[in-house]
Amino acid sequence: MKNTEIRKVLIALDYNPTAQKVAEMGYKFAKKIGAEISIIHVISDETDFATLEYSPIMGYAGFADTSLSHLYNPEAMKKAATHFLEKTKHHLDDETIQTIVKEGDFAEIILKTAKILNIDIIVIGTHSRKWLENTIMGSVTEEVLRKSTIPLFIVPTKNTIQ
Amino acid sequence: MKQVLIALDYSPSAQKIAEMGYAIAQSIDAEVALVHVVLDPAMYSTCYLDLGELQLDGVECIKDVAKQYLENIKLKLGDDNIEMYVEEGDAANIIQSVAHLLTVDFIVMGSHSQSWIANKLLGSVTESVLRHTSIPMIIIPNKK
Repeated sequence: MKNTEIRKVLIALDYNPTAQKVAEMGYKFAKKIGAEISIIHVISDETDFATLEYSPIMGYAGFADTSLSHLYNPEAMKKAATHFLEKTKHHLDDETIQTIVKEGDFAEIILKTAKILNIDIIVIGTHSRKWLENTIMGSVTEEVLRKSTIPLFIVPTKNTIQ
Repeated sequence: MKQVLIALDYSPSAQKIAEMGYAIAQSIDAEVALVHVVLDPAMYSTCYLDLGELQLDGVECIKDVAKQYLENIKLKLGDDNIEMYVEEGDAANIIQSVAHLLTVDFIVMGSHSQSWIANKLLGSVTESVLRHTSIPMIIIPNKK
């Protein structure tokens, strides 16, 4: 057994196409250090969803084929999120990955879950769109950064989208 | 060979950052380099404009102290293979240049720097590197 303090890794994913890079890099890193892996998606206020565009990532096409009315159904959103994480798990091809879907404030829930699970490091992307432009996930990363007492592995994502 | 760059300032948590960064590097079989950036001498020259050569000695002296500082940390980590870089200039730029030069796999930094002004926000150097880099980073929380 190697001498490392890192035994549990939590990878935070949103629906942005950059999630694939975050998932893959986080997974590779966690595997290399022999850590247990959990992936989390936090569902926030449903109005946020209406503004996001969905591109197929890891074989998952988001809500593209559902009617808009479904977007405002919390149960459907939860189901879709679970499905998204399951797809991600299949993409990473590792059945030992734990998937977690939660509702609420992104940063708060990510940090709370990390505490509960005794996570040693959180993997998160720098931003979905543009850093510090008050887009939802960009500011989430910033908030997690400011509040976290747990080390973060930050995957730069700005160059992967145009 | 994998390589990890650990950026350290003089904050009290530097030891913790160095140790955590080192432990992570070890677990992925990576080599470790330490970097410390001293302020741009141009900033000193505004204070000591008329001191002539003394000013240059001052910068060298600052660099010597920094080298000794990294040497001590290296000693504590107990690994002779650790490379050390003491550079002068803009910290965020220099850290990224060294990271690119060494083609590191990731950069390890504290979330906050030692400067009390910078600590009002997220450490300004950390934030600046985060904004511009295309290299993954490991941020160790060190807020007081």
